[in-house]
Amino acid sequence: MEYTDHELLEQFKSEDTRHYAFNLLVRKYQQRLYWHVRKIVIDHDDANDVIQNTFIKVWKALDGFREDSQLYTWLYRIATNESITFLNQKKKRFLIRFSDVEHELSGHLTNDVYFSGDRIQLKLQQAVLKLPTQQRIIFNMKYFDGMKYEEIAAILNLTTGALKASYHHAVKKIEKYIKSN
Amino acid sequence: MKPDLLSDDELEKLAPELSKIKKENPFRVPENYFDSLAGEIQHKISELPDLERMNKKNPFAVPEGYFDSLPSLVQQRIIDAKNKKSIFGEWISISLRPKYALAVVMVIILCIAGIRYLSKPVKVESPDNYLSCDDIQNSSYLATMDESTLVEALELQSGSTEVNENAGMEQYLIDNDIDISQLENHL
Repeated sequence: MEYTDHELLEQFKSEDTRHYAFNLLVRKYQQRLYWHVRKIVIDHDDANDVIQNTFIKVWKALDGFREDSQLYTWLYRIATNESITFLNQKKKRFLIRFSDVEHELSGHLTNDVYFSGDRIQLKLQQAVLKLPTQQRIIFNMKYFDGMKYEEIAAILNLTTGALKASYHHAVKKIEKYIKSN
Repeated sequence: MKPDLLSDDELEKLAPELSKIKKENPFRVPENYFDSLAGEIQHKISELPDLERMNKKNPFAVPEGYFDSLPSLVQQRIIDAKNKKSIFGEWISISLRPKYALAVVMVIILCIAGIRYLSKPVKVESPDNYLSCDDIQNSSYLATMDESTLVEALELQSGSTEVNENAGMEQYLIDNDIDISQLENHL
């Protein structure tokens, strides 16, 4: 039986069931959040670090979570911010420009043992990596995860109009890349 | 139907090459990764310092009986402050009484006069007044000075009296029958 978010939050408030509730929460959301993070940071080890940091932040802040927004929206927002922060730190660590981080990730894909895509899949991922980070996140959430514009807007704190425009531009850019490569 | 997503027809129209690619997840994870992830996270959380509990413990201490004596200490400080204030107020009221007022006013006037007298500027006389012509003539500094400098300085100082002084000098030279060649030998 899977608990609802509200039930998990209620159990988390009690000292006796706090750890148990949190364990269930991690199990409920780990895959969805992991794949979201993985598509942003590309490398599995990096994704593992980011997802663990994300859940540790959730543990620290869950007491202050007021159920004004949905729990998964809040979790996605933390995971997205953690992923972007990770990429920024990577850029600083290696003293490279942000666009070069994506170039480096693109190169990493070809040697990644945890990437099983064929030539076409690789080309698609490389095309996605050519997009600016936020547009890339929007494209992944919309195209691969099939999320609604309203959900993405709530997570990324953007208007649906801006999202739709960004997604359409992303599709056009990717199409152009695939055609020309 | 998913109204938010581009329909297959729309996607094919907008991006025909992209629409041919299957929406598969090409990424993989190590075996049993998700089975152990929750446990790993719980382990990391258990190693975090429990700030909430730590904050509840007060690490500071006070001397024994401190809080018993604190109210009386505060009271004493209040009384002391009141007394200090009343002594100053009393002194002011005494000095404003008619029989003491005159004396106070006199003291103030004397103080002001004294300050004004002491702050008067002191006149310092110029050292020129203490030097005789012989002193200047015998001065070793004079020998090193250029005559033109002396002439310029005299011109600046004398101004309009120069004409009269020159006339006197001429008269002196005529009276004593002094030749120009004699003057040149001296200079």
